[in-house]
Amino acid sequence: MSRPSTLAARLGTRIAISLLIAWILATLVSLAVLMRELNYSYDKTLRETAQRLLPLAISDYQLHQVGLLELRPDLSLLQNFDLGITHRLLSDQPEYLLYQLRDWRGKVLLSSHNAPMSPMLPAIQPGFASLEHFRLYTASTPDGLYHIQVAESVKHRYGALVDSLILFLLVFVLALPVSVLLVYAAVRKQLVPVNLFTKAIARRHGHNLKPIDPMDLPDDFLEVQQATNDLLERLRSALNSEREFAANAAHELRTPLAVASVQLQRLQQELGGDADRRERLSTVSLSLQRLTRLVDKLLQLARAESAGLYSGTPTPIDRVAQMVARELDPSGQRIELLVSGAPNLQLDPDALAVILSNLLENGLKYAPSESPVILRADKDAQVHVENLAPNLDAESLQTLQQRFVRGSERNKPGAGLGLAIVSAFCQQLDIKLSLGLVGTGRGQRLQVSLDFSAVTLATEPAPPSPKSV
Amino acid sequence: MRVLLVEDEAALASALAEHLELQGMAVDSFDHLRLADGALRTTEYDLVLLDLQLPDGDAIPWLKQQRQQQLKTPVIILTARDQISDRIAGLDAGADDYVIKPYDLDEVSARILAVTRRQSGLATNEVQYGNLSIDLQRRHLALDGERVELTAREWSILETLIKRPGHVVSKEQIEDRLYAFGHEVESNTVEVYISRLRKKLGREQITTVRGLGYRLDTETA
Repeated sequence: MSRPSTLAARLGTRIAISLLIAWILATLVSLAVLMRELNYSYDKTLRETAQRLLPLAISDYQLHQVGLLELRPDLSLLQNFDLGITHRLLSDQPEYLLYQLRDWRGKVLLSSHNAPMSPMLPAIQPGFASLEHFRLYTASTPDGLYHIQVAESVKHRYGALVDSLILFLLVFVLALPVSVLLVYAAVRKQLVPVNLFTKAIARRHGHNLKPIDPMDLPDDFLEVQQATNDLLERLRSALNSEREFAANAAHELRTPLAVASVQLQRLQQELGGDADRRERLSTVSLSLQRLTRLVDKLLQLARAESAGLYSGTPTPIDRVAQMVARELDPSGQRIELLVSGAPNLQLDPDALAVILSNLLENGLKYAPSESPVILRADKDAQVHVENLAPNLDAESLQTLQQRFVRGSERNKPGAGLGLAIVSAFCQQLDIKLSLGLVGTGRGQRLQVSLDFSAVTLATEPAPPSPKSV
Repeated sequence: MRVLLVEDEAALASALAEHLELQGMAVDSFDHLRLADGALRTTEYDLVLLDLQLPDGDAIPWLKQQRQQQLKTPVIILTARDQISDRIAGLDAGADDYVIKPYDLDEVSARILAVTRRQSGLATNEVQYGNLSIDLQRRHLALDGERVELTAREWSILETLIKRPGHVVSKEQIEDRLYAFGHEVESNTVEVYISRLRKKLGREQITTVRGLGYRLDTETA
């Protein structure tokens, strides 16, 4: 049998077992007490019966001796004996009560019809004695001439005990399952807030570091909740400072690059027709551009860890897509956006921008020159980036897919880095990413699909942004 | 045109100012928000170029405040911050456009032109080519003011030509575009659609350049 796994089941089982043991012990103790009390009370009755029977039996014997009893049976005191409990014992259930009247020599003078003629107990000693099947009491006249021995069947005596035992068992069989069920239900009910708390912790991850709301938790768990919230807060502030650091680094790195770039452009403008110098300047300019892109990519990669931080402001896919597209393709010649009706996301806009810009950038780089790169977002938050890829075969697709999925080749600048960034962000944000080929021949397209449905805002899309960019 | 440049990086500010002055603009350059504040009060500017991170503070709340105080002058943000949320915040604070550092000087001039044009109410999504008026965003096409209906493929081809007005677009480029949108392409598809477009738009709008491709003529007036 496997161990019960939930706390409620474990507690329930333990309590049920303890209850069972306690119940059995209680029953045994009660039975022992009951047995003692019963014996005491039966013994008392037996003694009283014997003491009452003794004069009656003597009288009957003496009448019998003079022959009167045969003539006038109605004179028998024993026959008319109908007093109190003895009556019930003698007339209703006479079978379990036997008696013998004996004289001082031990001779049986008189006996009940169910008693043997020979003495039930050879010796005559006043008081109680236990035989194999009987409990026996001997009462004597003060002069010691007559003794009466009254025996009660042990079977009868213990019959009552067995009845009690059966009653106990019946209560046990009926009440135990009910009480176990009640215990289980109570435990479960008490554990509801604990379960909610556990689920709330389970929901905390990269993009949900919100403190856990207070719930009706038992004191033992309040401390855990406090500790969890402290931990979440520390994690969030660590990620926040990481992000702030990256933002500062971006500013600090880009400013000197911007100075160099602008001065270079001014130089190029001022330089007349000197072809050789122009050539050299444009080499510098290209290097500078590459350096800028590399800085961008490295900063993006540095931000992957904190990509999950979400401020709570819904992010419209269309607006971010429009901004990204315009930055990558200012003249709007190549990127086509089909994003109307796309939902808002519960996602940091920067994370979305990084993912979309890297995918679009790769599309622009690898699609046949001048052919469009299409970004499609539907209302179910499925986003596809498509571009012509006539020369891509299944094998290269797989290599590409692996790079995406594993985020490997991080150290390789260019496309590899872009893919690694997208892959790192998607992993951090639980966004499913898949690659596929659509169409054939010259019309074959590479389709990168992102499933944002896990971070979709349940509400309707917000009204269009006030300013179109 | 008088431009207010708020930028604390001296080497950047001077080069940009020089460039803009060469384009015939008058540029006043300041390196603190406080100074820019004063300048805005005393001088009428046609445009503000605003760096986001200045020695005396973040420019976004400053801009928001200026807009609340009824500043109508168009503002273009120049930012070295690389995150889109900063740009969104800038636009939401009331900027008309943004340029990211390092920037291309010609790009900055182009943005200035576009923003001031938009400000003066000239800007529209409609493009005029002679007697053709095209709104690419709404997919609306009118010939001499009369609405012309185009199929998806016809649009696709016309768009390819419009995006490079006056330039020759090869048949392959047009085919690529059709392919990219998942259309079936036969050997004569482009010819068929070009001739349909000509029927709808008038023969003289699209010129065939033998051996090279097609061109949307912008001169036809």
